Amino acid sequence: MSWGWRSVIGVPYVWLTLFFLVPFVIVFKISFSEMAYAIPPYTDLMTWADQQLTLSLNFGNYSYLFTDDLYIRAYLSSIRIAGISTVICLLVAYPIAYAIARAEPATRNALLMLVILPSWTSFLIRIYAWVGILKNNGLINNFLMWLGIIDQPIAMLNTEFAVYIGIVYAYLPFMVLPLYTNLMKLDSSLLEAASDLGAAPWKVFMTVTLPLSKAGMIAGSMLVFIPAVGEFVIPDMLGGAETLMIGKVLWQEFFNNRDWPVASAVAIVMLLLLLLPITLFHRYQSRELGN
Amino acid sequence: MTQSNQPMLEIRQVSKQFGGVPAVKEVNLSINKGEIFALLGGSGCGKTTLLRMLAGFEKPSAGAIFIDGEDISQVPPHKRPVNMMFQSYALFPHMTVAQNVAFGLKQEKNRLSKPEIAKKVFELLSLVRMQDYAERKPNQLSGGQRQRVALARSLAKQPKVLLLDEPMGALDKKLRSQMQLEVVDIIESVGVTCVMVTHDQEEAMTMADRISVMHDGEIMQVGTPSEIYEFPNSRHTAGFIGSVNIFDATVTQLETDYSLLSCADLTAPIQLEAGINAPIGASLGVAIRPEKITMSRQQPEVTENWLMGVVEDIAYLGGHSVYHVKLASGKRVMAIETNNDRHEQKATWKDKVYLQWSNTSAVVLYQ
Repeated sequence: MSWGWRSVIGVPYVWLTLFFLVPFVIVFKISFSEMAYAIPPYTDLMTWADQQLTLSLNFGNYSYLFTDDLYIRAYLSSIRIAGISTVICLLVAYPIAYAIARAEPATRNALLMLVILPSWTSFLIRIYAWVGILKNNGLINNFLMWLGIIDQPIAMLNTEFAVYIGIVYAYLPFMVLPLYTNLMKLDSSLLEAASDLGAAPWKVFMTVTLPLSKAGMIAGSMLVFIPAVGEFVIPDMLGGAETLMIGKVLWQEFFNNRDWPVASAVAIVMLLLLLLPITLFHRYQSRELGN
Repeated sequence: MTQSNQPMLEIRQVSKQFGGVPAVKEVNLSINKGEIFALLGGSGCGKTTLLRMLAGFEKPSAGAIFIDGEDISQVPPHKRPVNMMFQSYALFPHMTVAQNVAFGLKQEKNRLSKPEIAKKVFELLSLVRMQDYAERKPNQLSGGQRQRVALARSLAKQPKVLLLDEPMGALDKKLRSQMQLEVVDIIESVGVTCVMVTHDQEEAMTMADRISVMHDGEIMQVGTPSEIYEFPNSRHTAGFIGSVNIFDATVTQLETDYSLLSCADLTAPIQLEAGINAPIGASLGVAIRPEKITMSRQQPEVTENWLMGVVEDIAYLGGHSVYHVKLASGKRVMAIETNNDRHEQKATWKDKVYLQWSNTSAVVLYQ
């Protein structure tokens, strides 16, 4: 193997080692330490005293997660909220991606631009804008009251409903883009063949388009589901105290309680939970490639 | 071949425009039951558009299409008694061979039961000798195998008309000639009426009972392969099917049993055995196929139908050789000589040769 080849392949490896593996190992290490009133606020795993090297692994942080049902509830509700958001994203994004893929080449680029354009504004600002739209004297409530449809504002902000809106809004492009790429590759002669063989338009969609876009649906769902589980900004700004999500719990452990070891354990367990869908996705992907 | 009085497929005055640009112009065709009919032409001649109108993927801008006496011009593709074998085969990649073949059967209103469908699929796969591959996915098959599956799939619903879009387009040359005969055997054993589209004249002549030569959205000529080859009616058809020498000639003498024409490129006049549908002084084209020309190194003892030239190029093709002979006027004439003697001393480059043909060989081209 040439030097050039090695350096090309080496750059991402170095990057991943420095900025992914090393931080992960540090977090993993902290999750086995004990909280301490010091800087940094945790104990060392290894101590050297009296010519003895002592390694003390504290599993207490992990067992603690199961003693207080707050954590389990937070995990479950995160998975539920992320799961439902992913399904909504899929339902909203599919027709959008389909329409873009079927559009004329000139319109297609303009439409794609419209999907991507919002991401050019800061994520935080876009989510904050929803506060203004959803709050009691916000755009929607004021408009409905002006129309006379309601006389009391509908409480939308600080509910799970607002979190769904936020996640679907923020992550929609991540669902649209892989679906669009997938649907673009769909050979139109397959659709013609299905219709030629007697399948009505909806049947063509169900038997050919939908199964052949499975890879795009899975890729998009992963891109939405995985970050949505750990989402902090959206539940914090739109969900209020009512919404329980693991990202918020993590934040509180870290910054409010300054309990780095428990926060690290929370993060590690979240990673383990996400490992399951990621491996399933990889297995599916390699099976597709193998075919 | 069974042929009833009523044509199975009738195309009446069908035109198609794409954004004002005509692709098919007032085409009239009548195709009999059980016939294999080829639409032959170069790219952009409108043959594929015409086929897609038969399948229902395009709607005619004008005119009507009748299948078995019924106007289907406005019927959507999934309700037409027509099935198509696509150029790319368009096999569903997520389904097995058996599922692909069963697809059409499963769409029918009065669906067969599961075991009946399985039985029918097995019969169809046996017909194309693919019964051992039923559980394979299309990407595990070779090109020829995919084509067989595509054929079985398009025959599954017993269509009234089978459409083949460039049926051999995706195969290599050797497999092509083998599959041409095999596909014809299968189609004839089923007895289905078939319309195929091809740009390959050899393929059209091998497979079809009748050929329609298309050019620029119009039908130039319809006939059996030998009619098209031996009696082309236009310079385009003559040039498109096989190789041909075309002389620009002027009518000089018209008799009851023969006609004479003069050509600026030739010293001797051209004599034709039959009369010509044109007055004296009319200019028209005379086509002579290269294999109908004989070559010698002695001047022939005839006054008509010969020419003299110098051998400029020889293409040795094994079974025969193509000689390119340059006339004094600069025009090049092709002649084919069969290589039936291994030791024969043939004419070679720069040799002065005489070419000769009989008065039954030349064909008059009016347009």
